[in-house]
Amino acid sequence: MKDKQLLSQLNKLKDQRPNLLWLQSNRELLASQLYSGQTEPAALSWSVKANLLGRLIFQPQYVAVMIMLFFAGSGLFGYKISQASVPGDSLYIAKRISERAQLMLAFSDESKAKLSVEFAGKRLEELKDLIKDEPNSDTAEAAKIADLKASVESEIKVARERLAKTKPEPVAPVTKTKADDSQEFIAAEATKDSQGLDISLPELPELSTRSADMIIEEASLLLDQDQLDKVKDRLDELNKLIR
Amino acid sequence: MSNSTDKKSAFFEDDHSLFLRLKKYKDKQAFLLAYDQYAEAIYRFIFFRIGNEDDARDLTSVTFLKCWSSVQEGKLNDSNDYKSLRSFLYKIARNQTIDYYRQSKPTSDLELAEAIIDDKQDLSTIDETLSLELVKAKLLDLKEEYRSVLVMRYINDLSISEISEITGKDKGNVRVTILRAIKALKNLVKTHHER
Repeated sequence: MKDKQLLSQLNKLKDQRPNLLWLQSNRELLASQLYSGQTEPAALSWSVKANLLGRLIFQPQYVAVMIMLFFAGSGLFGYKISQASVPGDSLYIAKRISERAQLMLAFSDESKAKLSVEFAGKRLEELKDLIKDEPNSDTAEAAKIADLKASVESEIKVARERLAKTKPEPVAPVTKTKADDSQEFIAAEATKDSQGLDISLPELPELSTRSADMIIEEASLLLDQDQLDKVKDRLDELNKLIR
Repeated sequence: MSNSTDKKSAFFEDDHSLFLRLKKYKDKQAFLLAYDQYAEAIYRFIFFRIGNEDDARDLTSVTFLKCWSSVQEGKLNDSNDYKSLRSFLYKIARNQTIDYYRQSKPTSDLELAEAIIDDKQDLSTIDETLSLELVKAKLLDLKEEYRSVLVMRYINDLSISEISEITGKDKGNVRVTILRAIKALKNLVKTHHER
């Protein structure tokens, strides 16, 4: 075997590429992070942010412990401050990085999908708050809103991707109607009518099987139409589906 | 020769320009351009170090987030250690994978690749002893140090200087490691065929 052959094959491994959908959605996530954060953080939260970032990023195996210790040290107040941070706050980047770290710690595709749905919900709440607080949006605020929307979309896309890897696809329980109950008690012998024709069993109402994919599709469409409350409902529904 | 020199200068100008914009102005647009330029290569580097696609994606995300955070904190200005944006990103990625290894023994796609090799060999277009899947599988089987240098050099096209900067080893050491890595990979492939 010649070295040249081996190196040529190695070179072909350039084709090992990340999923394009992920690449794009991750870019949108980064962009929303960049254009929502401050460049001049306040002094106190700067030291907190640097401490949290250092522990989160350099030692991911201790992420969960460090997050708990940090919040235990700073108390419930500290936790609420960080989790309540919104785009523009200096702790916002810490919040987003801690979310990434949580994803890393999740073991299964289901748990990662569930987290992605949860993060989409958080971005949605941030978006709703931003719209509520900034009724007369100027260009800069409009850009923030657009970026947050892109973030929600990204997280939904990531959840879809994770769920696509799980088998079988989560399906919402069948919704029974009152008609179902009345049809339940059918005599076993009643298979032919008086003319000897086969009687088909009473038709069940149309099964309302809503797959996770359908719900995600609806959520995306509703987001495009700015129906944020309905998007929230879809995310809640999706969250219940994923175990 | 002139083509590769032109390409090299073009690369350095782009990277240098992006690096400057980040250091001096914390230019967000420059950062996103850096993402467009390097995300695939960083992902590939991480993937071949840990052998898991999902985790490679997560670590790639964290790498870029960490990079931006360093830009915001002014770390690029503090030290002369970082000669290019690319090597800075690779260093972060490398540190992430080292931490990842410490945390857990990663599950790799190695078994899947082995199964693919055993089931089918693409004999039609390439040397039957050296199918792409075989090379990929054996690459993942190499020890981490060898795997890294081969990925950086022959898959991601980094220069010896860059690899030296990223790994902290001198250039001579890097060259020797690369040669040893190629030899080790050849041996693994040879052993596979002797089974």
